[in-house]
Amino acid sequence: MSVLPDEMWIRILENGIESKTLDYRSLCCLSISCRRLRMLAVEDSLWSNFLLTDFPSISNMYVEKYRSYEKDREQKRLAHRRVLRIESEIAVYLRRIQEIKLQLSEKKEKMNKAIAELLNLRRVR
Amino acid sequence: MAEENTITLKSSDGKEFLISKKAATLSETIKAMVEEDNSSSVFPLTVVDSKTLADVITFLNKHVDCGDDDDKKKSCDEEFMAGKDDMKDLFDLVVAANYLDVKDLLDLICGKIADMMQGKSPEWVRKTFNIQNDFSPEEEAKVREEYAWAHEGVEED
Repeated sequence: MSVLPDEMWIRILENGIESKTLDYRSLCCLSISCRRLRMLAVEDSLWSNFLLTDFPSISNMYVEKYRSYEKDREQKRLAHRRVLRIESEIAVYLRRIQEIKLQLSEKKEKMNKAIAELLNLRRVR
Repeated sequence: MAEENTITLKSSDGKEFLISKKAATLSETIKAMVEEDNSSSVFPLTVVDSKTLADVITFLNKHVDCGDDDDKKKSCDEEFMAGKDDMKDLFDLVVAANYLDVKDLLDLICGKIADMMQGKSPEWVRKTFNIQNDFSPEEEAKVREEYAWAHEGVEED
């Protein structure tokens, strides 16, 4: 045991898990045998192998989740752009309305002047 | 000339082994040694004893003979591993394979040791690997409780 460095033990464990000779039970038994093996056998990367083989749907689930997240984000981005577009359209229309109102008041003024002139002419006559 | 194609490997206990350069350089470590110093023909391997080195050389020669034929390699490997059950020998081989950087041999021995550990109890692991149980009784009880869920159907030999 003492002759074997940690990296060799890790390699043995990885090799066993890869070839499926070592399962979670074997790793648990190693963990119980002594402190050093416990430290080596609780390594997350070893266990994630079991997780991926036993629950491939989990890894798929995350891929799916990420995809739907990306889709969501894209949709939100598009929606946001639509809102911005409409807002700028509104701004343009508002400005036009302003212009029309201005023209209207100018015309009104002109008309009032014309009426006043007409009234003056009538009076003169 | 034959000498150009062979080199001598010297074990930690001073025994010399003649091996073809082609077989020897399957070891990345020896390959680097040879490339660095191509005037020498004797290479001392200070951490590999003669028993282990003889095994490694058998392996390397077999693999050179197999070439790139994976099926052939597989049956060669099985033949090579037959009867190799002594844990000390396996440990010596795994350390040597690691030092000499022979990936195929390293994978083979690691796989064998992993095979041996399959489904074995903590007691078996301690006994086989000569491991001192360094948990206090309380700690061990706690660790065992932690792994109780995994504990059905394990061989108690």
